[in-house]
Amino acid sequence: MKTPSSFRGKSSTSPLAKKSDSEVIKLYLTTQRPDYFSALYRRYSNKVFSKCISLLKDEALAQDATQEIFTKIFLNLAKFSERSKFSTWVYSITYNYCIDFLRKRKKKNALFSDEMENPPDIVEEIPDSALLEMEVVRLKKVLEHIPTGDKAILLMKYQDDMSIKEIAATLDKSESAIKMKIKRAKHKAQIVYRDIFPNNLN
Amino acid sequence: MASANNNENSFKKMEAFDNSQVPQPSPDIERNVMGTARSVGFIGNVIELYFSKALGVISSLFGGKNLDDESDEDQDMKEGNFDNDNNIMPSGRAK
Repeated sequence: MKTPSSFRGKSSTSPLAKKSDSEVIKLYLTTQRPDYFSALYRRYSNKVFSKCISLLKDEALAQDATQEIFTKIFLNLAKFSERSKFSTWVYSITYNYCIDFLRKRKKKNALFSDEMENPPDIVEEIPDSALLEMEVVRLKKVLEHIPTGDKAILLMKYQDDMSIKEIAATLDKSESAIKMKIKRAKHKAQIVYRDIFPNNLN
Repeated sequence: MASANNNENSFKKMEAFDNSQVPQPSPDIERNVMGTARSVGFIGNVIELYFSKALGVISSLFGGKNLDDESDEDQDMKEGNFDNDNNIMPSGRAK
């Protein structure tokens, strides 16, 4: 049964609820008490799970992915450098895991528009507003119809506010490659939008 | 034009909508992750407590010197008890 997110998790009256992510991480690293890690898990598990479902499109796979991702987060927590926000770090692990998983699974299908056989050389610049002001239901539909890599990169930029530098580090690409991927992803989204909603051009 | 940081952009609204719609992750996930956390913590403690000692035992088996066994000479070195010829004093320390 589906539970609204507002009713999930343990009571927010816990003393840990008031502490920032980095304070909880420091507490965990110094004491090694599992309840501190558990607090981090409770903060991010729903969002990570939701992203996994959205990218992998399979609930069982998303459950396994969430477990793997949190195990990775736990094992690498000491390496978290606080150069970025903890949430950004968690999401970049999530996107990387899902993209790697899909790459292994669909070796023949391109994950990004620019990996397709004949990507267009010149891509028209789509204004951000075309996507950012789109109706939510339509945006969801459009994102369902573009390559998963394009979807992931648009989510990183517009949903999680990751900088070009952070996206580049996550996907292990240069910043100029990421700018091009975003441009192509927006272009692809615009084409799909025109196909699905031919009478409602933005 | 809307900014990418706008809290009300369609992507953020979609995230809020998705988070309210997707089922909760199974409680087994938290149990398994916390199980891993406990196991790794336990193994870490075991390594921290016994690994250096085990290494010492192995090195002493091969004729090395166990760093835990501090000799009188080492003690003299630490305390700065030297004779004038820069030789370590025999134990009993002061001449």
